[in-house]
Amino acid sequence: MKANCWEGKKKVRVETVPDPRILNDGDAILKVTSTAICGSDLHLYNGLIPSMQKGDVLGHEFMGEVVEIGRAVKKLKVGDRVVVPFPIACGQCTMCHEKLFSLCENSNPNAWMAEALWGHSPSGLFGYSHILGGFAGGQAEFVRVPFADVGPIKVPASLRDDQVLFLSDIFPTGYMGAEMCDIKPGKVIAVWGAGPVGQFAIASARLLGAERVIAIDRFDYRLKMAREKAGATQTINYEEADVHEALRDLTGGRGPDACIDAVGAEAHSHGISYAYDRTKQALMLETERPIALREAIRACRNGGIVSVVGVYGGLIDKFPMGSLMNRGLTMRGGQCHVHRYLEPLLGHIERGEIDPSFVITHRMRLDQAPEAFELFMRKQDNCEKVVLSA
Amino acid sequence: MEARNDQTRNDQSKLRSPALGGANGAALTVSTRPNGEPRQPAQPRRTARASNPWARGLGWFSIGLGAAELLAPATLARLIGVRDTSRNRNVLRALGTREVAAGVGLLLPRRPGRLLWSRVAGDVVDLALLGGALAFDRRTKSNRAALALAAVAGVTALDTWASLRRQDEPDDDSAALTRATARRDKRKNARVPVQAVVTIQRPATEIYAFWRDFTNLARFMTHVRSVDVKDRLRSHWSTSVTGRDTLEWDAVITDDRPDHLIAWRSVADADFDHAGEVRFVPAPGGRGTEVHLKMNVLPPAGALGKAVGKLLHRVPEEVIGADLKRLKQLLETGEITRSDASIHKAPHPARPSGDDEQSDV
Repeated sequence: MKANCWEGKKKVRVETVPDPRILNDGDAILKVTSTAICGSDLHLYNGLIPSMQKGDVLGHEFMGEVVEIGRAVKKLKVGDRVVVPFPIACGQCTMCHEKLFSLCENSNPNAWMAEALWGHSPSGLFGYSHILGGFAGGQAEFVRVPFADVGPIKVPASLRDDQVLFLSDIFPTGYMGAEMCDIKPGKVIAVWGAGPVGQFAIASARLLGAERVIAIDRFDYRLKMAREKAGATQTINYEEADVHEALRDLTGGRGPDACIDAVGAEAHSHGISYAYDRTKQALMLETERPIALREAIRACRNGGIVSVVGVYGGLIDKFPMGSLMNRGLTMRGGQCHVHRYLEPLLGHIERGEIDPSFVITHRMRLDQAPEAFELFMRKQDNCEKVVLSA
Repeated sequence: MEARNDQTRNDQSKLRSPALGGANGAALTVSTRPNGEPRQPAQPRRTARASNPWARGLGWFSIGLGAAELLAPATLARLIGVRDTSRNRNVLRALGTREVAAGVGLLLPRRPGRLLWSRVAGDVVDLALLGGALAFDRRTKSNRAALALAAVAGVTALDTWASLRRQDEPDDDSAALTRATARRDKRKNARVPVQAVVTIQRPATEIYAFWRDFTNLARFMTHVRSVDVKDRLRSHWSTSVTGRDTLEWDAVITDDRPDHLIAWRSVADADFDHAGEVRFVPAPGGRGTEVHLKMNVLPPAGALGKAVGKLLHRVPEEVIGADLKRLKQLLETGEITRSDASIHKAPHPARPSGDDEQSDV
């Protein structure tokens, strides 16, 4: 089959690789009908996530048709059309029982690697380095899905791929980012990053009843989408205005009640602090550029919440701990526990309360994946989200 | 709160079963040592670095200075006021080699005591050479050389002090102690306790029963090929570390408390001489059972065995930790989780593997 493989920093290539096989009795094999490139794939592309190997199949946002099932699979049958959550969860361990699916204790065969880096291991993820399991991803014609009775959700034929594909990651991820903000009527939420996850965080904050949502980015086309499609009430272009000042003005001097970091490890900025982080990163003195996170912590109102759904991999520098502690902030974060959001969010889509396809700007073929990565990374042609299909 | 957790951990580490600790461990079994030598409690794990921070500091200093002498003898010569001649450069290079060797020796885990004295001896040589240059070579820049001489004298004092201090420290690794003890004691000192723990969302009864049927162990222990149960207490183990080698031994159960503990040890002439125990402790908050696995590995006798043993010692804790994770997967999900990369023994890209690659599955 054809698959999009990581070949090194800034290099992916569509190669012919063997078809996946059933390796565990709980597996299913899907014929992928739609798959997408995630912002977090760019961290892999840019070589920020350790333990990638030449030839790894990428992709953790995908959906398709079941073509084969293992002996133990009970809920799925051949022919079912399903969307698959990007974290792999067994459904049996204590974490899964507590619905903390992205922290499943049994799905990462390389848990020892993650323990060495992070202290304890989270769940395995599709197509996301060997630290997170070494599972082949879904930017391919076929993909193996472990624990097929636990993750995949069947989707009705009345909904197009475009409308349900993002249940695999970015819609639930944005939703969890908003949910962690304890939104109540009257709340003001600020969202750093108007990429795909940011758009869904904005839309979800509105769904959850936030009164105002402020989007922060540097690309006008993304801020326009945030206002017109996702429901942001205000936007700040950080290349034109000082974010801290602008947020103060927009919130009567209080600061937002909650701040969502939908940027993660590769924030852009300008001026000295950006040069500082680029330099430290180049010298391997820190692994990330936490500019958005620092800004979010400083901007948040006293006693507010900072919700982190942007992906980080290692260590950051100049973390404003004094601001967080003295002003009584709460910080929350995590890889999304996608499984627990599938049904409620599918419900929102079915009732027409949201159509997640609004983020799609480019539709390409799987064999155009290398081109699509470049386009998405360079934000050329007003690129927001690329969907690939066979 | 944290202090209390630490306390609990300490208390647990103090708990030693008879099988690992006291002389009554052999109660259930045939004595495996001709002289009935009781097993000693597991010794605290040794750190892999020299324990004395002074020795470590001086070690790094030696390497730094040695590197400078080796790589930039001319610059160094000018710095200390000695003439930059090819002879002086060669002397500096020779001294650099000695410094690097002494430094590496000091950073290795064993016996920095003697090596610290080697630094003192080296300092004396340095003092003599510098003094000679100052006294007999008129082209030496005397104020720079005098400064260098003072610096070396200071370092000599520090080295002497560290060496003397080192001698006062009780150290079961020290040369004197090793020489003074019998060969068997040496083997006993080389015994390395390894342990691992995992929490499994299953009742202790179930996990105990699964483990007690030793044939199940081959299902989740990477290196165990098969276990033949001979009778209620005895079993025969066949393992392989590389896939081509074979290590075999007979084991005998030394303690067996249903739902709580199983302890065993290898019988005489085992390829893998060890004692082990697994304890099943209810986890708080209805989270199932904590499985504590502890093993004391005794490397084979003889120099070769010791060398092999040293290599083996580094592996087991990771190996048995991963083994326990697989046991958890097996008991909680019914299977051992495989990924596209993990079905290969060697590093392999995360992509499906073809038929030709399946041999090592």
